[in-house]
Amino acid sequence: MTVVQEHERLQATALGEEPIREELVLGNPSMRDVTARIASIVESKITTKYLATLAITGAMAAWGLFALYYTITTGIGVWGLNNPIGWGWDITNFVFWIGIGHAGTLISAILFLFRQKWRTAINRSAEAMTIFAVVCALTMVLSHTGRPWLFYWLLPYPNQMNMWVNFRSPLMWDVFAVNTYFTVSALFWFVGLIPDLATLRNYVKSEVAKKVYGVLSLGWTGSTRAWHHYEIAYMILAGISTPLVLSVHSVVSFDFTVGVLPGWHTTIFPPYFVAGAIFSGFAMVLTLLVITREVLDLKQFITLKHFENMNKIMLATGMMVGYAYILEFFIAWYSGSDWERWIFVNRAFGDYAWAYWTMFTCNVVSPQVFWFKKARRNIPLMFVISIFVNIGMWFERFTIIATTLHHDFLPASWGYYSPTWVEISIFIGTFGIFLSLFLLFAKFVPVIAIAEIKSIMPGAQPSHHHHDGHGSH
Amino acid sequence: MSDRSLHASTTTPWKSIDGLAQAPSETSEFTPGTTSNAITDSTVSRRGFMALVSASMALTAAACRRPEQKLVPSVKSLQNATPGLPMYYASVYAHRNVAYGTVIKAREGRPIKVKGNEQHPVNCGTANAEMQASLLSLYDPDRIRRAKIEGQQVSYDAAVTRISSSITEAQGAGKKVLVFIDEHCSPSYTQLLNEFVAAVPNASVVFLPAISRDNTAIATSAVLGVNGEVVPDLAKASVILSVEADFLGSDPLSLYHTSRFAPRRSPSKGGPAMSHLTVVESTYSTTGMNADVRVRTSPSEIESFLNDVHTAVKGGSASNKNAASAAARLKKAGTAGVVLAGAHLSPKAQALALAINAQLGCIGTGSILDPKNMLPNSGEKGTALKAALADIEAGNVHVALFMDVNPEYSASRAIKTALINKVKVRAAINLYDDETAAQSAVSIPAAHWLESWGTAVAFDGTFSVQQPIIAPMCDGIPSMQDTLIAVGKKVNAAFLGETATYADYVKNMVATVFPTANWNQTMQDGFIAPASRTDLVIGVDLDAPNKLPGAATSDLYLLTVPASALYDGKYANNGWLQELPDPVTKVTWDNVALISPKKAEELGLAADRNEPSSLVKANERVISITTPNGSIELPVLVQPGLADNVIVTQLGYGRTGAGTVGNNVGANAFTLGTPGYIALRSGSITVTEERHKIATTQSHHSLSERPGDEENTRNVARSMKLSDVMKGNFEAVENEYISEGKDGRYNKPLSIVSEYEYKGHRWGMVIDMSACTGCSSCIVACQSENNIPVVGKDQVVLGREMHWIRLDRYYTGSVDEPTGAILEPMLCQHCENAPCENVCPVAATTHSPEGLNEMTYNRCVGTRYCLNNCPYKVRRFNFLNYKDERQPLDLVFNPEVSGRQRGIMEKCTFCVQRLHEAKWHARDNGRSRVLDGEAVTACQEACPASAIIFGDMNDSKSRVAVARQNERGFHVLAEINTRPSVTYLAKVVNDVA
Repeated sequence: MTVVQEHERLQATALGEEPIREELVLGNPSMRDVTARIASIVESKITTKYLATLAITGAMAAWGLFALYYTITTGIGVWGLNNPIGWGWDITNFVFWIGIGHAGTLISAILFLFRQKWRTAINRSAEAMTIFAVVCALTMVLSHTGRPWLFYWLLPYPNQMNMWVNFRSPLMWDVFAVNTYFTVSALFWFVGLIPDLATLRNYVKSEVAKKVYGVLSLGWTGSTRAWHHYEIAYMILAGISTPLVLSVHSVVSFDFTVGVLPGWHTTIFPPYFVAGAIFSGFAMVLTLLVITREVLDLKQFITLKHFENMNKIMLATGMMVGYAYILEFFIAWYSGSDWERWIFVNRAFGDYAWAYWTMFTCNVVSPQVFWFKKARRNIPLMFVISIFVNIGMWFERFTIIATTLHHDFLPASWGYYSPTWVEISIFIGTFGIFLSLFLLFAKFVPVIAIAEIKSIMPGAQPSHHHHDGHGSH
Repeated sequence: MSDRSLHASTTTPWKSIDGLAQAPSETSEFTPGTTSNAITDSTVSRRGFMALVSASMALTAAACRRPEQKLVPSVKSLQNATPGLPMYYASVYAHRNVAYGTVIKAREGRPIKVKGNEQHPVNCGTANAEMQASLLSLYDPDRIRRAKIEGQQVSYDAAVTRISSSITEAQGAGKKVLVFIDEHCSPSYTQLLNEFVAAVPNASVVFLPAISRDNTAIATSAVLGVNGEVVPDLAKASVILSVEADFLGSDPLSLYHTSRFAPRRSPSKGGPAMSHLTVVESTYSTTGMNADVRVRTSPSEIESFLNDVHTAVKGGSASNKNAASAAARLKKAGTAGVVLAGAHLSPKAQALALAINAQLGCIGTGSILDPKNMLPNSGEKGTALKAALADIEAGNVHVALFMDVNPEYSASRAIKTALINKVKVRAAINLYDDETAAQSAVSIPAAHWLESWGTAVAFDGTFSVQQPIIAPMCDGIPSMQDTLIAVGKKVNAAFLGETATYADYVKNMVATVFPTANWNQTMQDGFIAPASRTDLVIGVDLDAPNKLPGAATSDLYLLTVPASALYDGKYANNGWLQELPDPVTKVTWDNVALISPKKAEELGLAADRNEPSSLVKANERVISITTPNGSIELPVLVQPGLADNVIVTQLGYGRTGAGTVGNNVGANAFTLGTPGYIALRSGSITVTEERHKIATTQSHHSLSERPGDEENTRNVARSMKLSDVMKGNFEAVENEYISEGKDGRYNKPLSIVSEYEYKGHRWGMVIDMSACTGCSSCIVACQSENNIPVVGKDQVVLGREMHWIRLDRYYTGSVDEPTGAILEPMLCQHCENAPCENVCPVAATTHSPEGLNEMTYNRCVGTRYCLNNCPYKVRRFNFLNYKDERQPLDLVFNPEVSGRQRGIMEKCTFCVQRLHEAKWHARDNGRSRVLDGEAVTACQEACPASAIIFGDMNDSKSRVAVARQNERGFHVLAEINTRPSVTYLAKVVNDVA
């Protein structure tokens, strides 16, 4: 911080001019402090606690992978799926994980373009979550087929069979949507990481780590020219990512809407799925950040202000999905179709009513507490609510998939589905993968974008040293 | 796969592995075990190298793939057989005393399909489930392979000698030899047994059928003076009153009855008038599902009901309202009316039915009940059996020879005890090492009917010859008749003289009985039509019913009925039959205790009988049923439409010596007493705390009424009244959606895409729900034709049965009093706008230019999206590897249909292999099109009701195109614009008679 900046800040305070916006970085640290604080997480010794946690999540992942191995070598029959119900926990988990990823993209791309400064403290970890969630989603979607060893047949490549994929199939669109999503998210994340990796390269003491961070930072010099290019690249990637926030989950929803089944064949799904994805994504970000903030002591950077903003988004998106739930019933009645009406009555009062009402309570009722500022800033409460929302959003996908399939058109072919230990294990396994990757990330990568957060610290931008005009909400 | 690509690059093109296996020896690289030599010997070309590399990579990537296959050439070629082309042999399926003409399709010397013989007058080309499934038993690995003495494998000669020496022993000791046989209809067998008894004077033959139909014979002989069972011709009947006669279900002749009954159930212009069926029953049978009027009755009221009808027909007045209206209908029909009584009913009840028939005038030459049409060997057998039992108990019997009977499983306790304790030497000659064989000193394999010679005579006098299609597989041991000949010759060298084998015996007999018949012609036809038959003289005794014993009355009855698929359990080790759902209950792999909703409430199993969700909870609860004879435990299934004082269960289950498939499936209801009604005392039913999973192929939910249920059912499975058909009111089949124009009679829903024009063939099907009785033979026909695996009970419980065609059953009326049921055969609808096709990401399911929805197994990756999106839920996913790997079960497969690996989807193909065969045939005959009737699907071929019509819809004169114009036609779920190729004709209920 230059002397001038410091002076101006002190002057402003002396004049009694309270900052209109809450500070996004507390404790008034110096730039050097910020670097040291965040880089020290990487530099600090690996604790037994960390290893123990990693061992647990690793064991979960290993168990899940074993269940996957068992599935692939024995057949999908080890799951609880049956004749009317061709998809169960597999696709539920896939949609769940894809949805989780959406908060990351929203935070990193859309909030960036809208100059929401508060995003800087959380974008790194949210983006990391996106990538890890998509890894889990890919695991689910690749292993759910009857012959997963032929997964590459889903890709359009020239082959001796002269067979082209079926571009009319929403699953094909899924392949493109998810692959694009994964590629762009990974690139975006990595590009954003370059300056920080360079910082670490300079900061760490171990020779090996220096080498690794050195290679990963791609020879970053920190020159103005480099920053200039970096900013352009980052902006372009943000631009590319932005439509993905809307498109990926819309495409995922097409898996259902293109079907002819009552309860699937509905036009409301794309917006409703996107809202739901953001809803569940923020819930997951919140769950993880509450813990990360506590464990890594990042209270300085991740403030109640951040949490409050996220809770507001959850309240908004939660109401959107609630609106969709209610509207579905109206449309079912309005459509005049017996099948449509019956399937929705069956959703709410049939065999899977428990799943429906779990979903409804968790997603629509529980976020209502966020109308109150006190609740929005109450960390234990928001932690509990975020977990409710995670559960509720999982059940939303389950409700859509299982209740529609178990009782569709012909009453003679109705069935019921419950998962086996294998499916449950695989789901636990995806959590293991997700959490293990997150733990590795939290230890070896700066959890907060060091370079970016400096830009929103008071005095970081001399020309906008008062409250800046772009707003930070 | 590596073999394939390498081979393809070095030798001539090839079609299939089977084709390769038969390849002539010029392709010397291609001999078994040398496929790898072929690679190394030849110079590795660039393509070969690439193939090797890619193959090894593929192998590394997919090490856990399909089982290794070895290619084996046929060293010796078969006589007269062109590899790749099927051979057809005419034969006869004679089981019990019923004979159906068959044609056996064989490929490379192995039978792969049992069809009906179109020329045979009894079944006219149709086939029932049992005869088709008996093919699987031919290849059953659990068949007894070698002869055994005291459980030790011995040579066949040793076993035969052991029996003959025992007989000689008995002769020495002045004791008897009893030969126990099942009901049969083989004149040569009868003659052989007579000659055996003549040659071995201390031997006598005793009929020991598992399920006795003696009451019928007793009643018939009392009323008509002829000892046996007269077979009705239902094609002549306009009004039928069935009192517990399940002539469309468990009756051994149901195939014949269905084919005669069904044509009169499908009203059409110019066709025969629709018949009227009233069913009076305490259970809910297949026949009951087809009733126009169904009367749920208590078992104790059956005789009085018949009495009432009798009185009313005679001109008196009946107190029972239902009896009065039934009698009125019968009277109106006169000689075209008939009453049929169940074979398990008391002699009195059955005699009453005959008396009514006599009154109506439907008995006599050329009438519905023509005494000439007598089932062979259907006379009363109980007296002889009683005498035999007395002999055994007196210690006069030294040897008991069991030929194709299994008393240890199905006989009464008295017989079982006597046989075990009093008979010195027991010997069993049978297909399986069954319960009786386990208790016998000697056990000899019997050849399967497809491996042996024989004769059979049908009730109408048609004489058929059964010829072997394949050499006996089990140690080369021939038929049980051959064994009997061998035994006889050892006991008495003069027995049969020069004739050494049963084959010669049969030939000689045919030559004697039909001197003018040409043997080769007989082999080709499969039967010899009888010369004119003499009329049987009958005398009617209308007072006979009063002289006969009625049934014991009780407050609670147990009714044991033959299982719909297994009948008496002889074929219990047959997976096709075990997995064939009961037409009414849809239960597979079990017998259950059927009870009414009210009974469920009485037993405390359901809290409220008007609450479906409460009734569903009663299902699968285990109850224990005790009679003076024994006690078994069975799971409960609440069955709508049952009488409240009856518990119904099925025979044929609970085998312990059937084999790995049939053992311990269900409980043995034979132990409870003589099949039929058994009066229960109070306290004979106890509810246990156990539960037992019941594997049904249709969810229990169809019992319950849910919101919208009735609406949905009405649209999906439509039915209408005969009066509306006659008035021309076809409202019931109309659809309520906006349409653009017509496709023939059908509304076309709005569409934004232009239509594909089918220039060549366009295959389609019409299913007449009014004709379908629910016999389920189509399911087995399809299973046999299309290599559909048996998945087992656990998988059926999970809802993973693989049948490509299923019979959806929808009850009409209330849970307590269902008025009937609609049966809707459901198979791939080959939709023009198939929802499955556009969702497959790898284009594994596509539409053919001939309108077929095709499934490319090799391309399928198994996303199951098509299954989800199929509104008819007719797609079947191979969740696991369902192939039974035991040898020689793989010989049963149809080589024209590929096997399916786990992880891929399959479904009805409209028997595409048969369509191709028909097209090749047309091409070979210089035609560009297949003629109507040349392409026949397996289900259509087997259907005795002719409810399935298949053909080219583009050929306006084809039967299917004409049937599609039927005003009763509708498409299931037409409103979602799938445009199915299968048209259903609404079921008609006769409300006119």
